[in-house]
Amino acid sequence: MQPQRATRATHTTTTSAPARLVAGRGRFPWNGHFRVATGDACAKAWLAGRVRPAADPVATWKRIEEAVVACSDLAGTNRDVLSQRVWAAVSDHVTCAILVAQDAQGAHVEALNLAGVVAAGPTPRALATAETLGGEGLVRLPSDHPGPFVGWSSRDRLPEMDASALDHATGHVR
Amino acid sequence: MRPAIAERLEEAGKLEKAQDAGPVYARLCVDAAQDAAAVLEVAARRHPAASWLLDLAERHETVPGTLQLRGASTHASFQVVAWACAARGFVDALVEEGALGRPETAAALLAHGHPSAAVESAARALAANPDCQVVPWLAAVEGPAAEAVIARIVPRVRSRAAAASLERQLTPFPMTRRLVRAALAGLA
Repeated sequence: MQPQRATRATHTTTTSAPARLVAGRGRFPWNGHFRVATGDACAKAWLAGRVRPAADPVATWKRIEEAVVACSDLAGTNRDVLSQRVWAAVSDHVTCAILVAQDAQGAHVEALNLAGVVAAGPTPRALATAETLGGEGLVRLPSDHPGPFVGWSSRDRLPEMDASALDHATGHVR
Repeated sequence: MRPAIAERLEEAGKLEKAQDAGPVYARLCVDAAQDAAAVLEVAARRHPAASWLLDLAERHETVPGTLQLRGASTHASFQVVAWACAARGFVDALVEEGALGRPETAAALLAHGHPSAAVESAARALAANPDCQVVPWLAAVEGPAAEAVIARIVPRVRSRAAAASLERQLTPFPMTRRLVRAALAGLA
């Protein structure tokens, strides 16, 4: 992980966000997608998640707001505690998500219901595939890579996508 | 409108029951010459979602797409029409018809690679209808990158009601939310 400046309960939505998801398909490829950063000086966590999309973006946005409020301003004594609190806060809201948690001792990446995760950045490489992730559930991944970490779900249908391809798929990653 | 064209428009209503409406109105637009816009207005009202309207608009309308967007503004097909207009490059109409107070025009522009036009359309939508839900629509189209676009709307918001509405929509975009709160302090 690249060092991040520790601040109290701040949020980020920039393209340098450590945790990202790939866009979906159709007219509203980002319907249901959100990002949030939480934590304090002890530990920080970044989550990119997707709520179940409703028929129209406004109804979906209400679900996103609930998820963001649920995991805003959380704190933990270390990254394990914080990531547990984040998952407890958002598990009722998200269908899939990727989380990066960091403290003074290091960082870890966790994937929920994802089909693949890539460590992007200057030297991208595949971190996990559908086989290693097992398709469902919460999985902790090795994180000896600066990231950012980009995940996708099986619905995104990107079986051929590898690290280098994803690196060039700027239309899919924000 | 010339009486002869008005009569033929009435006939068109009957004719289109027996044949495709597109060719009926296409012929009528050609014959109507300077009254073609009036013909298009009727056609857009009767067939707001028709794809052939796009071709007619391109040939006969000063700001192509305007009449179709207005015709569809109370119709379930408005979103489809907005996307079709954006795909056809009817940017000016989508900007101006932001004044309809609906978020679809800005979203369609953003989805088709016109962020500046989307900002202008969204600002007009908020001016016309402060409760217009532009943020969810832009975010659904552009994802996290929508926040940069939405931040550009803020300086164009002129009413406290519109700024307050925007602020309520921005929970997932806290940086821009803070910007709107600062702007709110300066609005009467």
